Amino acid sequence: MKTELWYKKLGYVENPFSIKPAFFNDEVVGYDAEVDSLIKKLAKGEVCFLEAEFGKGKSTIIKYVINEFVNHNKIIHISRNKSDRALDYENLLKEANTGFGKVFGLKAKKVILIVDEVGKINQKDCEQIEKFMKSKNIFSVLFADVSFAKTNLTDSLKKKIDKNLIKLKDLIPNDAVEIVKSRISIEGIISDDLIISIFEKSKRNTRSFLINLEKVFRYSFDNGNQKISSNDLTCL
Amino acid sequence: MWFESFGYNYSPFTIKPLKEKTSLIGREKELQDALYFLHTGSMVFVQCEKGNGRTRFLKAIIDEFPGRIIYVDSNKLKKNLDIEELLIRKNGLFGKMFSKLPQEMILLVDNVENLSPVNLERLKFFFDQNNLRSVIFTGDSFKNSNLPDCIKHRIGNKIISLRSLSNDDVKALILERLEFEDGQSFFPSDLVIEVYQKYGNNLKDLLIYSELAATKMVEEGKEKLTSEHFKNLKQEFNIMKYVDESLIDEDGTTIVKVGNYYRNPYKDVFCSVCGAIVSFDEAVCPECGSKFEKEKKEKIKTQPKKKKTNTSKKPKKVKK
Repeated sequence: MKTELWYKKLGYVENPFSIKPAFFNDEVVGYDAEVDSLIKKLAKGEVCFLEAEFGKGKSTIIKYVINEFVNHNKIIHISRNKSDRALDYENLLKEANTGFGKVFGLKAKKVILIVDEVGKINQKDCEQIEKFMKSKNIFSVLFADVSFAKTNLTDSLKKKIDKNLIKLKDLIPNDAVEIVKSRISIEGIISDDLIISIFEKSKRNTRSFLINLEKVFRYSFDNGNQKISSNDLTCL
Repeated sequence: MWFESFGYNYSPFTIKPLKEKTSLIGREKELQDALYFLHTGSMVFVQCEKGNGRTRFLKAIIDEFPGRIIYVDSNKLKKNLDIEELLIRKNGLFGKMFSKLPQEMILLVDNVENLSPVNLERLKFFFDQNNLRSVIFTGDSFKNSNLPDCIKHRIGNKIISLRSLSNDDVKALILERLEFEDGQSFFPSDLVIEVYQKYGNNLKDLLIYSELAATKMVEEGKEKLTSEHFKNLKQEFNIMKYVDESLIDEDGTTIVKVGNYYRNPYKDVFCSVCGAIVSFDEAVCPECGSKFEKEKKEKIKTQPKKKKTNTSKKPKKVKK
């Protein structure tokens, strides 16, 4: 790289606007109620569905949930779209086990199963999940995808989800400012108004917002500026 | 071979990007952008017409990240490959022994149009988990690519377009390959541009036809290329016979050009009209819409293996 990276000029080791879910293990901004509700339901052994468009924060919330439970429960986190065929949940439960249980090929108990991208889920998947819920190997389940209505979950599982469908609402402008503050120290670098402008140009989508923030910051600092001005938004 | 009489160890018109040691001409800004995106942890799409240097561009990136890069050409992947297994294999001995995925690797996926949807979903998952720090996809066009929405969303506006090279860039590129001063080279600069434009401003075609013309030049005992050497090349040559091993696949099979693609008729199942990879049970080409003739599988299995180019006018799948 010939020029110094803009975020290194600001004193950061990594890109502060990384789109990788929970890259900085930060709190989830704007969805406190949804996350609290989700954690309570999973702790009670329920089946939940997290519904949101691309880039709204599903994967970040999933990572947050994993961090909450990882010291108390075994967790299986899978992306269902990684395979065209039904997954082997018995094998996944054995792999999730630890110590002697794993050595003797036993299935883990009280597992929290998190299934992201459920688009390819089929009847065989659902039957296995329900079977292992009955046998108490799977304690609770979280499904996540763009649309609950368009999934192929069985009626039985849909009934279990029932009121546990959590839809992520659009964030508000103040949330956008909070997101930026959680990533960088903004004093003297960017005003709240400019943050909100970039947020609106990103159609209030968190991932697009982070990508656009990075673009504006790179544009501005590579041009030798010390702070973000409204002119810098022309690069969007 | 013709190039030996000029003192070269291998053809200066080679189309093997990984063999090419010259500098990346005319794409310096695009390279800086790509390197920036890779450092910052991104998914990127490099769009460029086939034959205009995208693999060469990726090679320049590989040179900047020694050891941390995995390069994959989707054209050469087996249809049922699980890309997770490929990543584990590339993670060295430790990865292979313990079936561990790498962390923070950089993945370059050339010709992404041939990567299966399931493998794309896997890549997305590994990117989110930071097994892959950054991913670059290459293809003809981001808008028309087969990338699922979840990946397109992660790419966002990180699209690098490799523009066609200017005439000066093309001249400089050829001169650097020939290692001659202009005026002394056997390939005059004006002729370079004339040929480049004749073959639709496509770098790969310029190199292939220059190879053939140079062969003709040496056979005639001449020392300088002229326009005459570039006439009737398609009719005079079995086009693949005289180029260097670039167009021979690893198993020794001659690769054929179909549409904009180079295909191995013994390994690939492709549409004979446009060259797109298709699956055996498809009735219509997903790229050009041609309908395939019904063929009995038994008939295909008993056909003897012999080299032939697919000259059929009717769209049909070819499988050996």
